[in-house]
Amino acid sequence: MNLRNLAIKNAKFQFRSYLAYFISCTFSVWMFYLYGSLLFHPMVTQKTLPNQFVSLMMVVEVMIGLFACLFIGYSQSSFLRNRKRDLGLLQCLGMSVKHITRLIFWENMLVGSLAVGVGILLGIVFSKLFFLAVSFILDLATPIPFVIPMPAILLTGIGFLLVFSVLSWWSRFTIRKLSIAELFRESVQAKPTPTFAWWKVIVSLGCLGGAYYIAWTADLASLVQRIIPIFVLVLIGTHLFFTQLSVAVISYMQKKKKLFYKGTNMMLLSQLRFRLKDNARILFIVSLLSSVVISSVSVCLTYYFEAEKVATDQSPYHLSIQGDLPNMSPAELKSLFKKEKIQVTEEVHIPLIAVQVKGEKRFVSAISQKDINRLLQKLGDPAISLQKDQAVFVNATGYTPDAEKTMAIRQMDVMMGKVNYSFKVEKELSRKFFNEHKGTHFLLVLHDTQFRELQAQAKKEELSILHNYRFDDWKQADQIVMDLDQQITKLGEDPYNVQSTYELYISLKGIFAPLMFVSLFIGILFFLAAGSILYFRIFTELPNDAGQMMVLHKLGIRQKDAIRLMSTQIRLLFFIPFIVSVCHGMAAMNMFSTLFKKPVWDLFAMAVIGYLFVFGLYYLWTHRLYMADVLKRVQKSS
Amino acid sequence: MIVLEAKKLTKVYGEKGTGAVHQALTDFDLTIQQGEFIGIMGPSGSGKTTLLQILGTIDRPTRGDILIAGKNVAKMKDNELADFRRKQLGFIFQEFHLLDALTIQENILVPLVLEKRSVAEMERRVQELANYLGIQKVLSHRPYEVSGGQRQRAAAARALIHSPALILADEPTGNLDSKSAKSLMESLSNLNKKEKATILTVTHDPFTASYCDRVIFIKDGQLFTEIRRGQTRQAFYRHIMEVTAALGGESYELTQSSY
Ligand SMILES: Nc1ncnc2c1ncn2[C@@H]1O[C@H](COP(=O)(O)OP(=O)(O)OP(=O)(O)O)[C@@H](O)[C@H]1O
Ligand SMILES: [Mg+2]
Repeated sequence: MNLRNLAIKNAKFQFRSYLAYFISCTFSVWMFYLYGSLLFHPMVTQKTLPNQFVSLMMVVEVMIGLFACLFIGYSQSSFLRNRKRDLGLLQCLGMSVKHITRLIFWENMLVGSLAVGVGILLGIVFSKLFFLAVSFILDLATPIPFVIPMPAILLTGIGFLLVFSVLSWWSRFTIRKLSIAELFRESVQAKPTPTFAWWKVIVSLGCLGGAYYIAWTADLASLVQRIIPIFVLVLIGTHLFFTQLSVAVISYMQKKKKLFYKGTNMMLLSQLRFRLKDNARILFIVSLLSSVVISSVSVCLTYYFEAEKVATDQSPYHLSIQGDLPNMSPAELKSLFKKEKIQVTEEVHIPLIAVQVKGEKRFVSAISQKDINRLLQKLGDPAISLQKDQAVFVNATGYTPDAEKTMAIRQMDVMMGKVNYSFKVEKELSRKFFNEHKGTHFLLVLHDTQFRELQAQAKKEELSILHNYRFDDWKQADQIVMDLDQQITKLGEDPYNVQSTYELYISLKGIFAPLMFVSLFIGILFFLAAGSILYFRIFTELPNDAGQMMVLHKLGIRQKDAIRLMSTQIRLLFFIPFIVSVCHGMAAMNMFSTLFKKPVWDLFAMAVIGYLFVFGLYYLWTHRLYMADVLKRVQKSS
Repeated sequence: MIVLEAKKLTKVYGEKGTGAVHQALTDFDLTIQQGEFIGIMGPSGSGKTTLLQILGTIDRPTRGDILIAGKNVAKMKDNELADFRRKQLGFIFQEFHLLDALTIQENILVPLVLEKRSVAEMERRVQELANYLGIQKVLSHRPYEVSGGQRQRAAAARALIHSPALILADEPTGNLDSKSAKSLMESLSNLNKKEKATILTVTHDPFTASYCDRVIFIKDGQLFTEIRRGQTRQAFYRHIMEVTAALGGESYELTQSSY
């Protein structure tokens, strides 16, 4: 036996508790290699992949790298903390810090190089499949060919080995701080019963409630500014939730005598009180990781699968053109439709006037009452009736939910030519009427005669006609609308003048297909990390749980009940973070669904069920291995 | 031959200036001859563990000198201390502190492994000590598969295997039932004679202390008194009980054990 032997023996003995860590490391290496092999693929240098996609991959690669560093660092330091007794003993027996660091180094390198080897191997084996998936997502005509880029292997291998060795070198500082004097003191210091402070419980509820309220009332315009306050509130709230609220709930249940003295509840609750508080930090980290996974996966999933719905909601007309096409008259356009066998099911041509409203920086277009009533009638909404000098302001961005507000009368002054017109606005309407053009976000509905008066005053460039078409099948019109779009760009006109459902649809898919792809991978990575942190945490309790089981056995409690007691605790450790993250995810989903009329809960449910399934498997696996080990220990020592 | 000489040991816990300081040891002198078996007794909080840690170079004294095997350990650097502990000291803890990853035999061997001794020597020493201590049968078991008494005897074997100049034990019988405590103390007493091992043990228990040649009593970090064993162990036990009662402060439970 020598030092290296000692390291190997230790790694072997700890194998079970390192297993999940090992799997997560391997998975990180695997993912890192896959994305690396794409980044170093000859196709990238030949610029055949879209630029944004390559940058996205770059971001993902960096994220995986950073996350792996954090995860490995965190895991190694918790391994160290867990073994401080053994390491202190070795120091006491005359091993210097240098030697112990070397021992740890050997152990880490053993696990690390195995993970790197297996990870890269898996990466190579699966890279063909990965390339196929990428080709599918990007709609490439010829799939990305299989290659094994040497730089990717080198970067992954050397990079990860470096991370492992630097982090285990770093452990010397932790080891220095370990106090060997603790060996002489009673290690089972009576831990004080975890308590909670009412004000912290209230802060926790307040933060969570506040975050949910802010998220619930967000609309697209305020979304970005709200993310940071929500994030901070959720962080504080969730942390206090685990350190305070959990204890508060348990102590409430302990006071309910009927519940408390029923069966093994007494033991369960008393143990949970300690366990939840001890593991508060871990539960917090796991909840956050899971929340991120559930939110991002379900949001990306929704936008990908509901791209069609978003496109038809946000571009209600399959094709719309503001003003005249420079090279084609409306009649010529119609004959083009005919030639391409596209049936126009509906067309509306609506004159608009770009108006300058005093004190209003946004582009506003005036529209006549007659026209808006035509559109309202089609939507099945009541018509507007205006007197002279009255107006209705319409928010037609589609970012806010449909609404109708009667307001205290507000004056709006419009300067047209040399004449100043004053209108009394008494109603504000939120409704999507048109596709996204420069002047279609905000509309001012005017009385017909006044509209005509304004028309007569306006300059030529302020007048335009919005031509809107609907087809029987908008997906068939893909060629024509994309052509029109390209022509207009080529001719130097504003590309905003031609808008179509198809174009929006394609650009949504273009954004969310890679995002969904990436979020699934990152989701699995985070999820594995979260699971492995829990797994390790549960395994550190092995000697205690085995000891407790023997005591319970001596007290005459049947093994089945003792196992159930332990299982319940493990189950709670796994599923409390899950429930918390589903709640957080629901709020996030609702917030990011403002583009839809209402959140798409069935896709969210699918994401949650998927997560539940995989997490459940993880739980079963952990539970099984753990129970087997506990029972083995109990049998051996009795 | 003098194995250990401690002069005017003082230990102050707590940072100077930050208020709460506690003087756990005050000008404590101690001399140990080779082959002695010494017990240290005193009320809880009297500084026994503190003394043991300082003698074991685990902690440094605030003032004072310690000479072990002729070397002044108070002036050594951390790395030198680690080397010194490895060669010259052996430890037995109240809570055994064996490595769960290793078998009993491997646990016993750790000090020799650290010293990089030959395999033949390792084998020979393990067999020898296991015989003395009656743990041959459990050598291939893991620590959590054997009884507390067997674990502590394994820990004793580990403390002795490299024939250190001094063996330090803190409440070695603290976690054992009276039968195991008795057999451990008998083994230690035997090894003390056979191997000429010098042993210093801290204990609460007059019965455990009665196996020693000399018992030092300490109170509030200072020497209270010191008694030596006369004829029989039973007489020594009664003597220890008397001093303990005189020491007061804390009432000791009578150890029924084998009397
Ligand atoms: N690291 C420390 N920091 C501050 N005070 C300490 C520290 N370690 C011990 N003390 C104090 O020093 C005094 C002596 O402690 P020590 O552990 O040596 O007592 P002991 O005689 O071993 O007691 P016991 O019989 O209960 O084990 C106690 O008052 C204790 O509170
Ligand atoms: Mg003590």
